[in-house]
Amino acid sequence: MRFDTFGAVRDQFPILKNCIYLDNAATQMRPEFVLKDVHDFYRHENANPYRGMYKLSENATETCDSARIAVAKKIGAESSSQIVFTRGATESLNMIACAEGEISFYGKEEWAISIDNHHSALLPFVERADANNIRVNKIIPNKNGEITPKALKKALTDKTTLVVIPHVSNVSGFPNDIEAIADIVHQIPHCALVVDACQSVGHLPIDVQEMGADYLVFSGHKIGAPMGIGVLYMSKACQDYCFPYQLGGEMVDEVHWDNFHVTDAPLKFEAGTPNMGGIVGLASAIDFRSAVGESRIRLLERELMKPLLSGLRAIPGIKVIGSPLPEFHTGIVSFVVDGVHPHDVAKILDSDNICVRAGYHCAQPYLEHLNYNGCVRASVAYYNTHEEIEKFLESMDAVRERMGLFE
Amino acid sequence: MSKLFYGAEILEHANRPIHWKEPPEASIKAHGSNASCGDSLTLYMDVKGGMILNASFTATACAVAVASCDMMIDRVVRDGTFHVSAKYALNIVEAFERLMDGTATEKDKQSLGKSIAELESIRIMPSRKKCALLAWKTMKNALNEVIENE
Repeated sequence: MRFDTFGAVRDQFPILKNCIYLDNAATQMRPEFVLKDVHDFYRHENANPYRGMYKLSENATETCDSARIAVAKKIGAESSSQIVFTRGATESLNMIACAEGEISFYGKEEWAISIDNHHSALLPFVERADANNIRVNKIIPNKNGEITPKALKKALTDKTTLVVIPHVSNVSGFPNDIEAIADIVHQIPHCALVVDACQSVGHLPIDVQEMGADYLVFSGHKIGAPMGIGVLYMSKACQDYCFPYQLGGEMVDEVHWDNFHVTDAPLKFEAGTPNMGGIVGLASAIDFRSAVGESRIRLLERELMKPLLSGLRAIPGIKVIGSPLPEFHTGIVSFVVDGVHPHDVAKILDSDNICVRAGYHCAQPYLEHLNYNGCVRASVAYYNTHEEIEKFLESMDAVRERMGLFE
Repeated sequence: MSKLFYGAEILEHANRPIHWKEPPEASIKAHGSNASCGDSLTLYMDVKGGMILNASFTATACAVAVASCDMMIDRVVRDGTFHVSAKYALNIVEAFERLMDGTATEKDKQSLGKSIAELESIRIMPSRKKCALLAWKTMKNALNEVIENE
């Protein structure tokens, strides 16, 4: 299938006829291309992979393995065996926190966690650290949302064994230089870097080997796959030393009443029946984006961000969070409106059929650090149009007036 | 000119709340919040012998929550000239809860007054109903404690 014209891309999302959807950082829409593949799997190929001796199951195994290869290729992993399928980034991050917490030397280690992490990248680690008497140091990004070398080094000591950061903050949209960060992190012996790629996987090229990430996670629904599927990339060393988060079927070679033998990665970390619909959908979403063109996607989104950011900054009473430059907003612009609570902004926009997010965005510590009680977030994807951005800006221009606040 | 998003009464109380004040002292300080949307407010009350002498509030909250709180204090407590009992105030609060549930009687609506009636339109928006109820639930918890301690 080809998507040579923008119209052909947009037609894949009939839901977009019903509203102006600017909450893509929360979830992207699923193209018909993906929905068809998921449906076809369940209708014509449904079986458990890795278990049956019959053709249907063997085909499902091949489908699962091919999906793993597709994900590995998308993120530049050396081997598909380093790709673990999970329910989503939240589960991936909990798995890491549990595994790393288990192997900690009680009271002798430190972890460094960026305060602009999503709650899913914060809470599992803070809780595990507390349970294992691991000291947590905060990494504080600068006012643009950047994790600078200086800020990073301030949070690291020779006892640091784990660093957790977002590739792109879901509030500021700033794209961190993971390669530079990894270089600093890996100067400390036995220190691993966890990268939350949820807000970058749909917008920036990812190469885990070049980046130097020891762990990288993302949720499939951020790139148009079904909800309920995610990825945990692990370096081979991490796969060897991590104990599985969940035990059960599929992740064992042998089970006896009093002992069991865990199988090799990645299945070691995939207890239970896999979410085959999700896995098929994820591979299909990667395929779809490849057919549209990843470079084309990035260009479309860059071109949308320019008028979005400049338009918002030009409206009196609006303060944008983060950098003034569009290249440092990876699909995301968060802002506050003077005198108008973010929820009221979101409801006014909703009355104009425009979907944005308002609140703390699961990043409450970060917003409190910035001294905001929540904010509004507009986030674009390649299927948004310039007309939609214009309508959004028109509605935003009227928000204060509609709240009875006249200049 | 753009159409106002809320009714005039709600906007007036939201933008220029009469009872917005953090007093230097208050015998009761009650905090309420909606975790899902981040609205939070603090009610300050002077209570003596089961009678509410005064009340005010501060908040970090949406227009509906702020307006609702201001209207509530306006209705439940009159500063200076008129003291109400905690039990009387609780009856008003419960009438408002019935209004938001859609089970208010005519007597409830009359007791709440015309301006609070404007909040009834919020009832049909599930995501905003809890904003409207926040102050009243906070007040109810505080009043129940006052009555218990009498």
